[in-house]
Amino acid sequence: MRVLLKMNIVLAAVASLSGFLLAFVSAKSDFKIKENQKKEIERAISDLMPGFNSFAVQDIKSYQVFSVFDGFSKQLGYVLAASGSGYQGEIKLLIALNYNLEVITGIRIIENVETPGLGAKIADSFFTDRFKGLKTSAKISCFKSQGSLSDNSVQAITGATISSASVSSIVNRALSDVVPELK
Amino acid sequence: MKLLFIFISAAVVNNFVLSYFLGICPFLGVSRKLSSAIGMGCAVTFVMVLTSVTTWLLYHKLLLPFEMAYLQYVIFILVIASLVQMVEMFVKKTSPALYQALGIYLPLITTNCAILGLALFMVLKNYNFIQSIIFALGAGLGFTMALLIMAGIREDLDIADLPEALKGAGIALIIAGLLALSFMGFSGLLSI
Amino acid sequence: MDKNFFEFKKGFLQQNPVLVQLLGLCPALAVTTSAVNALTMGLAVIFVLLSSTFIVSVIKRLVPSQVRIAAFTVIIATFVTIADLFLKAWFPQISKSLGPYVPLIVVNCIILGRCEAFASKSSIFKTILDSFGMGMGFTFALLILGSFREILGSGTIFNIAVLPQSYQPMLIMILPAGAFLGLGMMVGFMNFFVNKKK
Repeated sequence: MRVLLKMNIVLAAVASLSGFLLAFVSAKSDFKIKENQKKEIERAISDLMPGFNSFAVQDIKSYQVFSVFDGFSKQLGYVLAASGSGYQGEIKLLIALNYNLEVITGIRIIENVETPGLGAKIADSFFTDRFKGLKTSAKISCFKSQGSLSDNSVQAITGATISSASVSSIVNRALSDVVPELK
Repeated sequence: MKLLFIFISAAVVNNFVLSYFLGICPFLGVSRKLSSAIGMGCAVTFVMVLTSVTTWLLYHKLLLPFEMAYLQYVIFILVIASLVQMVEMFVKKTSPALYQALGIYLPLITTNCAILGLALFMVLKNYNFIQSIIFALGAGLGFTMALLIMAGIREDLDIADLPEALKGAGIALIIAGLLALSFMGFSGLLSI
Repeated sequence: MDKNFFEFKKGFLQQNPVLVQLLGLCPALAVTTSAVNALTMGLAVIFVLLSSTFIVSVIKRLVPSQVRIAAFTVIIATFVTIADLFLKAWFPQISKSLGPYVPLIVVNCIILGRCEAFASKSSIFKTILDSFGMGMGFTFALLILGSFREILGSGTIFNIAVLPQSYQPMLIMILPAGAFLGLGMMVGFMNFFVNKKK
């Protein structure tokens, strides 16, 4: 009986000490983690929209939409934060649109867990640049070979067709969900 | 469709052992004999499904609403340890034959990183309840499969003529590398 | 003094946790795609190993033996969470690329093994030496494997190009298969080296 009591007391003590310690550390690091995420989004937006000065956030469906302004409060365009599943796991990306919502001015992958060296190349600029200038009015298609490229399409990365197609389908879904709401 | 995708992805394309490196310890330790590989595989799959159910409920119904996500690692490992203990006691009481077969593997499972890995990936990939269970089934099947293939090869390996230094773990790792290469062939299996 | 030094040194070669004892292989294979990741993982493991074995060694008389594994696990999980939060807050980029392998330190057999086999039976001073040695041995093995894979797989080390532009990177080295092959060969070399010494 006494052993049982001691066992419980020791375990409870260890567990509650650990709980307190973690609550403390987590409270200390939480603001820093949030700040990092905010900074990363700001950096990505300023890359996507040169001349960016401030933005306003609104939630449309499950998307975060940033209306981006320059230093003279003129609207530069919109940035949508979208996510979806890739080949290995979730891909998070930002899509920049011009002010009248007709053209994609760029995309940026902010998070992915694709295969290093293959699928992870979706984050490289040579691939994301392929989305520049595409129209939002039609569906974007993703092709394996250059020969079959048509209007409003991107070429997939060699050896990473699925990851590439995931990116274009995330973009398509986000556009069809959000653009009509903004117009 | 999405469920089938998750299942196949967890079982072969993103095999826990060969592409996430989870559960390497039993993979090298228990994979000497076919019969013990089957036992271990079944025990792991069973515990995986139980873990996915419990940790999903705890994470989404308790930790998230109360903003205590920072406790997840402590809670997950405690849940896994007590689950394994409970399964062991339950099997011992109800089915002595099954206990004979699985018994020795059960305590090993607590420190099997595949189980904790499963709980973590489930949170990371943001699966819903049903998807998590399917994910656990697929991961368990994939683990069992990798273990079985490895055991089959190693039974033959015992009679092979190998350089002294590579005997044991060295050659097992290199074979695992070749297996991982061949499993990459599955990657074209799924398209979105 | 010699004996104390032995406690420190044994983790490097004779009892290297990764290459000889084959413990903690999961992070050793998963995060060694680059030298930076390998080093960060090694440092995180040293931190968790030192803090948890220290605590275990301090409270070893208080914990009844029936619940010691449970208590050790909670202690380890606590320090792992601290390490994870620290990386997330101050090194978000690295934390992202290590992904779930930081929390997986909880089930790293090296840590529970050292708590159970050494720290719960030895003095605080010896425990610190032992954990530091084991942690360094782990980091050492990871760093070598990480550099090896990064050089062959991307032609860089610590993100600095070391091979000429004309070098065609061997993609396989940073894929999972390359991890197994690389570690398998390292274990083989280690065996060869240790056997030769005898």
